[in-house]
Amino acid sequence: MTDIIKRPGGAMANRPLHFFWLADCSGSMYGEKIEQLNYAIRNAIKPMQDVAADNPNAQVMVRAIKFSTGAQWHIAQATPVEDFKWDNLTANGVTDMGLALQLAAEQLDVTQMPERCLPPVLVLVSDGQPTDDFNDGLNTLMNKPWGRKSVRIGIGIGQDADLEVLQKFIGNPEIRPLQANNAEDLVKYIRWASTVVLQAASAPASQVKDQVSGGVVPIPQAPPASDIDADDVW
Amino acid sequence: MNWHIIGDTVRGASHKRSDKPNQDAWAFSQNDTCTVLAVADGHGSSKHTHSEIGAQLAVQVALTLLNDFAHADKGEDSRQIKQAADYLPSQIVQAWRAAVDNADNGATENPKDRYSLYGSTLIAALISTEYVLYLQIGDGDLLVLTDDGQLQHPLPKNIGLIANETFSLCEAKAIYHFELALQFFNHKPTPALIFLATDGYANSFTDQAEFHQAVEDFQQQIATHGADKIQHCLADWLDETSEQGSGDDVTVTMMFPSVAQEQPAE
Repeated sequence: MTDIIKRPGGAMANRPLHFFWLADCSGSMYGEKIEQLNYAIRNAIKPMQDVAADNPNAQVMVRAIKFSTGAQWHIAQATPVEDFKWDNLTANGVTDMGLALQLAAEQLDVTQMPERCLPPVLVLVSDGQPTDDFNDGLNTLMNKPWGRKSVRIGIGIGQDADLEVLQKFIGNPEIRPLQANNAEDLVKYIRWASTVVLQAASAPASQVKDQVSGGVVPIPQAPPASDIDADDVW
Repeated sequence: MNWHIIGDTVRGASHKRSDKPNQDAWAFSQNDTCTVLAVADGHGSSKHTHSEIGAQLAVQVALTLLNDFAHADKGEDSRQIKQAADYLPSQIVQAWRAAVDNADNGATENPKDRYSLYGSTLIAALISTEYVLYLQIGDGDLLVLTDDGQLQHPLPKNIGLIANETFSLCEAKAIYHFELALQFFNHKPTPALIFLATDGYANSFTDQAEFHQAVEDFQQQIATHGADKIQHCLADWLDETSEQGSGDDVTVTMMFPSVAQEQPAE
């Protein structure tokens, strides 16, 4: 009889990929913008789950931060994408974006996120300008190893979004902030971040350390903005 | 002392899904003077489209140069051997680049772009009657089990390499990113097992302890079942590891004194 020999080694697991939404809930988001953001993220859950299911070697875990006057966890527990649900955000207050980055940074320490993790993805959605010390928050984030190595996407909502601040957050000249001037674009960009960006981050090839100019994960081109009536623009 | 070698490499589960080749390589050589073992991991991103060839060239270059190193007459002086070892990183990088130039056959004009296309890591071990030499550039693992069951890392760990970043033979400053250790047996006992693996293996375990358990288990199972049996099982185990773990290409190889194997019980 042939012996069955136990595979050497202890427990195995796919590699965790932590995905963070950072959502602006300031007063200027009140009304259609926050409603459309809630709709867009909820609408992207199924495609996001499908992308994750296509790569069983990555375990996608989702969290969300909301920021207005202060920043709080909207989804505090890292939630497997299969169980990810979205409760509606409401809008009120100012735009403490820097505090949101600090909150995210607390989770991007190697003590919280071991080395075998895949690069985390941070998607920042905002319609305005920070009212707190954005640079301080960004510095805190970038002082964390996983903060520096994270894939950062910025989506501006409407004409008043501070694209310069979003570009600083992204920190990669090859990736521009996306400006959603209408509901259709917002849905499109949220879906792109939830699927295309997630897919790229979940199966990254090795990158040579000294040759990483455009981030540790090459990000495919975002979809173009829609060509729609001026009446529909935020 | 005679050294027995087992090893295998498998195409990663994610590479199968995306129709990419296995970009890892491994090789060994043995003669009366020394045994040399090497693994390499081609980088695989869009900038490194020929990295599976670069990895093959890396292990072949390592075998040739380390074999030459062991055969060179250094007058039995450990100081001279150490001095000669310091030149190995630059010799390996030069030889690898020459091998890439030859393989590329003029297809890529810019040398920087050319070497990048073939980018790869390299880990190698050379063992002779007097010493063992370890070297590494880039990610992956080199572990040593001693006779008294201690698991050691003879080379310092690369600090700050996370998120799939690695050092590479293709870098302009590659020689500065080599780690090298030379241990003479008059100061240190001979290893009981030398284990080399690409990063797809360790990344498949939940943590370092579970990975280290694998190295200890290999030694135990070789002693219990014999090396041939373990070699026979290895590819299936590595396939399972990639599928349930990292999804990356996985290469594992190890050498151990032939006396370490017992006859398996019938």
